[in-house]
Amino acid sequence: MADTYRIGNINLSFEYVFDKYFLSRIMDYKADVFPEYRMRVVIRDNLVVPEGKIRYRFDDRTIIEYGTRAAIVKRDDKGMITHLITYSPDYKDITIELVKALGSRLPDIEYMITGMMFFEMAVSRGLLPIHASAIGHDGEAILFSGPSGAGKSTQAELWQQNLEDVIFINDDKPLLYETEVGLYVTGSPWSGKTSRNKNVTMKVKAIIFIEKSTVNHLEALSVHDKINFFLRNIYRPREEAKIDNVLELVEKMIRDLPVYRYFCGKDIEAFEYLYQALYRRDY
Amino acid sequence: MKLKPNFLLREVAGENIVVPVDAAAINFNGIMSLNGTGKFLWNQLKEETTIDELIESLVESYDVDESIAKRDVSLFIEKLRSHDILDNDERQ
Repeated sequence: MADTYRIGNINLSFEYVFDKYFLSRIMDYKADVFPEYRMRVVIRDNLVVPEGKIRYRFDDRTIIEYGTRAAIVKRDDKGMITHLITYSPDYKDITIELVKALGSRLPDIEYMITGMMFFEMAVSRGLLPIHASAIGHDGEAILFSGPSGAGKSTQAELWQQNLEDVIFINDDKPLLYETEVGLYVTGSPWSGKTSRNKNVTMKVKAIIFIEKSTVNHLEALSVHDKINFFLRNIYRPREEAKIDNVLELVEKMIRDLPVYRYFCGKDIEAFEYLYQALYRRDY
Repeated sequence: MKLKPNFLLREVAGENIVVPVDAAAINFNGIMSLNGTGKFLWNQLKEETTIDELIESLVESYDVDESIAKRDVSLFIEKLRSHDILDNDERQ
C-alpha cells in the first residue's frame, strides 16, 4: 500500500519495501494530500530491460529511452541486471525494480536509489539538494557544508549541545529553494547515515563551508570561490534541461546569502567563535 | 580537434563555468572556469579546428603577438586535456 507524503513542495505517493531506513525518517512527512508524484519500489526475481534507444552508458549503467519513458539499467560485474529504474521525463512517475538476489543489501540500495530519484524530482520542482548538515536555531537555518569527513555533523552537534533550541533540519542533503522573501531550506527523509531530519522549513541565515583546522578562523569568500564551493557541494543534475535552473539558484545564493569558509576545530570554542561572528554577541 | 559533446559553458555571477552533463557529469571532478580568451577559444573549439587555427584567430581577434598567442593556446589546450574534454586531439 502506498502512503502519501508532503516533502518540501512535493506531494508524493511513495511505496517502499524496507523499514530499516524509512521507519525512523519518513513519518514526519506523512500527509493526506493528493499526490502529484509517484515513486514505488518493487523486488523481483528477474528484471526485464525495456527495448528502446540507448542514450548513453557510463560504467555499469545504461540510460535507455523507450516510448515516453526512460530507464536506468545497472548491471553487476557478472552482467546480471540488479536495478531497473523506469520513469517519466518529468519524474512524476517512477518505478524502481530491484533484483531479489541483492539479498541483505536491498534496504541500503533501496534507500540510496529512492534518494537519488527523489533529488531529481526535487530539482525539477526548484528544490536544490546541497551536501550539508542543516540546523535550525532561533527560527533560522545554518548550513554546514563541505566534503565527506570535513566535520559538518560535528559542528552541527556542537550547536545542539550548547544551545537549547537547536534542531536538525537534515544531516546530509537539505533542500534549498527561493521565495520572494529570500532563500529557505527544508528537510526530507533522505538524511544520509543518520535519521536526523525534520519536516520543517526555515529561512537560511548563513552557509558555512567547513575545513578542519587547529585554529578557528572565519573567512569571507570571493565570488570565484563561492561558485567553486557551491558547485562542488550541490546536487548537480545530469540533464542539460535542469542545469540552468540550478545555476540560477546558485547565482542567487552567491548574491543574497552570507557564505563563509570556516577553518575550525571540534570543541566548544569552534561553536563560540562562529556564534559570536554570526550573531555579534556572546552566546 | 573539437570539444566533446556534453560540456556546456555557462555564466554564473559573471564567471564562465564549464558544466558537464549526461555521462560527462559522472566522471568530471572539480570545476573549470574560463577567462575571456578561454571563452573565445572554447567557442572556436565547438567546431573542428587545429592548434594553428586557434593561434591565428587569437592573434587576429585579440591583437596579441604570435608568441603570446601560442603560449595561451597551449596552456588552454593542456587544461582541456587534463579534464579530457577534447575529441580528435591532434597530439594523438
